[in-house]
Amino acid sequence: MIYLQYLLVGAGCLFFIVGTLGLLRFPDTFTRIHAITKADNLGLGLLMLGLLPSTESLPQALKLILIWLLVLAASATASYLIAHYVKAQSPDALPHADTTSEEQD
Amino acid sequence: MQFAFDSMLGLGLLACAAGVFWSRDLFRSVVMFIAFGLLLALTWVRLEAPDLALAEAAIGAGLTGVLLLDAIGHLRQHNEHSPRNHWLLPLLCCIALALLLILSFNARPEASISLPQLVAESLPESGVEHPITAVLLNFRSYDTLLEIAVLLVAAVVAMALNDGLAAAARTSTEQSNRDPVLAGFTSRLAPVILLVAIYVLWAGSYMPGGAFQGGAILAAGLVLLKLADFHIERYAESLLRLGLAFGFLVFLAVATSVMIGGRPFLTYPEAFAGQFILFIEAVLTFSIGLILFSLFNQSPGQEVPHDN
Amino acid sequence: MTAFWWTVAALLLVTLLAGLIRIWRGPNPADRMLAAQLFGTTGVAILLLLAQAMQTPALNDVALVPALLAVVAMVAFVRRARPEAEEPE
Repeated sequence: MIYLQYLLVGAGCLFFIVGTLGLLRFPDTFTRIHAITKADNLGLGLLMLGLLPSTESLPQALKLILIWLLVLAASATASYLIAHYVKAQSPDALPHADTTSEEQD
Repeated sequence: MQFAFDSMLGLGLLACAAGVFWSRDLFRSVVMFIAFGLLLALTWVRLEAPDLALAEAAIGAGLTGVLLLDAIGHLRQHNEHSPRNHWLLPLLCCIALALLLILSFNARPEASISLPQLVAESLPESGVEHPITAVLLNFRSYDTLLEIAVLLVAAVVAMALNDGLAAAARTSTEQSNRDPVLAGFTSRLAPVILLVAIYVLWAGSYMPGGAFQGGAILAAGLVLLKLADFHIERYAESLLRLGLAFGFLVFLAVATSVMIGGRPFLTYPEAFAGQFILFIEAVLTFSIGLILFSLFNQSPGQEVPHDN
Repeated sequence: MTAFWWTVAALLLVTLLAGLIRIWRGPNPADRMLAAQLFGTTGVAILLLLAQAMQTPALNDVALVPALLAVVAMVAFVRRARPEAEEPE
């Protein structure tokens, strides 16, 4: 069980690192949105799964799941809002801008 | 590893603070400040003050950032960029204050009584199990009463300053342009925020939490509703104004009514202290939430017409 | 076990501080807000790890708050901040 926890938390951490790398290295705002949702969805999800066996009680475990679900919903909405905003600010900013790039949550 | 974590946290905090002040772009300063708030919350956690971390997370992540971003929108709209060439005097003041703090920290007298021990000994009489709540609402409730009064005065001043502007804004945007995704998200998140605010208030009697933290979360929820164009404050404006003062008035009424029973000001009867504290905290949460929200509500934001 | 939590928390703190570079460099306001968004999520993750490492379950409550409220700043930015499209950088 402990090794599974190590694996899950380690993988979650890896996604956070990848997310930050993307935030720093990707060329424009839309691709950066894509990068940070990796950390939000997968990173935090894996980390939370890895932490679940260590919680003391059922309410605590449920609280962890609630936190993850909240972050999921919030980051999906925030990504939509910011992509919408950037697109409204500069409609011709990217050559390959199509509607799919703002819905990758 | 703990040491590495703590030292990185400290250095990051300093880097963030430097970023806030060195940035020439106001917007960058504001985002840096939001990041600073988060690092500060982590720092409070490491200093084993989860109550403060909770308050800082709610105020820093939720409210201060929103107020500053709103102010920036307002400044940009009116092109009121202020030149920043007065830095020498503030710098000298800061250095002097820092030196003074370091000196006074080194010269502090040894405490003759141990306050934590005193609190721990009299905790059973307070009616709650969490020492911070016991201090704030029983042993030193006088401080809390005055803090509420200060908050109330701040909200009243903000209302007095901005009444005309806000009234103009109110009439100008009766027709809202709701974003469907944001509206859907907000209408589902708002009940959760309310629930968490009540939970934090309730948790305050036995673990970190309490009226201020709950109130700040409540206020952030109200701000979110307003930003998503759910203008709930318009349905009950007089109720909002009444609610601002409600917490202070109830606190004061309870504090003085115990004097009828021959007790000193602000001392609760031991048998009911827990209930008294919970009641006062619930009312305070409500009022603090409304006060913090009204500070945001009074700011005209983008809605003020240009020619006004 | 605790040492592992601390290691991961420290690693996450490194990524969080690296995010500061994006806030500083921008180039446009949306990028800075994105970095702030990542700060919120990473902060939640660090708080959850600290709750285990420091054996204080109350920290899970602290983590709940930025999870709920980080989005409010983003909404405020999109609805209210309205900065110029491009920053002189």
